[in-house]
Amino acid sequence: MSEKRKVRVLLADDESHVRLFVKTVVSSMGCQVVGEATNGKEALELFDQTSPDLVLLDINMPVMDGIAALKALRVKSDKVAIVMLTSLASADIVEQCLEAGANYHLRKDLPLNELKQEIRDTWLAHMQDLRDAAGGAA
Amino acid sequence: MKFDLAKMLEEVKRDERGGKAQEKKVLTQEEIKAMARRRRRAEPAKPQEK
Repeated sequence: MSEKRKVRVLLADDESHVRLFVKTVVSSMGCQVVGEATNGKEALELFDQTSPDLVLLDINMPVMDGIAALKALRVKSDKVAIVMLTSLASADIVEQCLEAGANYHLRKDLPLNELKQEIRDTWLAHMQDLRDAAGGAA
Repeated sequence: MKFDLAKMLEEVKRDERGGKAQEKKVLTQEEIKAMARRRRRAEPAKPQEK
């Protein structure tokens, strides 16, 4: 995005056409897709193998759903940006995801430009949070 | 006759919940954004991981 190094993205969605779509979107934003998972368990494995900067997580997935994966990822790292990208967007689910440590919650049906903008804004806000935290810790 | 499978599935799920019509409102992205902002304001930056 605005970083010199490409932002490394891990995608998790059980639908191959959604993964292809999201991969195309984030690649067009200058990100590098370092892994594609079809469920939460795979996402955890790929997270360990690829060390992404940003994870885009679906919620409804077999084997391990996105919320369980989110919680497990947050145990592994609080530096990675995690964005839920899902068609589930009722208040209780959004609240549950934010409570569990998601940086943001995006509806899958957003118009393309809006989707890109929201991902970009979330990433920039996350980078700012990391800088603030590093400054505060120094 | 046309069947709306999504609607039928929702009705089955509702029945499984005890027949209560608990329609959950899907938030707009703006509503989600407002919710995320409120949470960010309420939560000061946490110390980062070791």
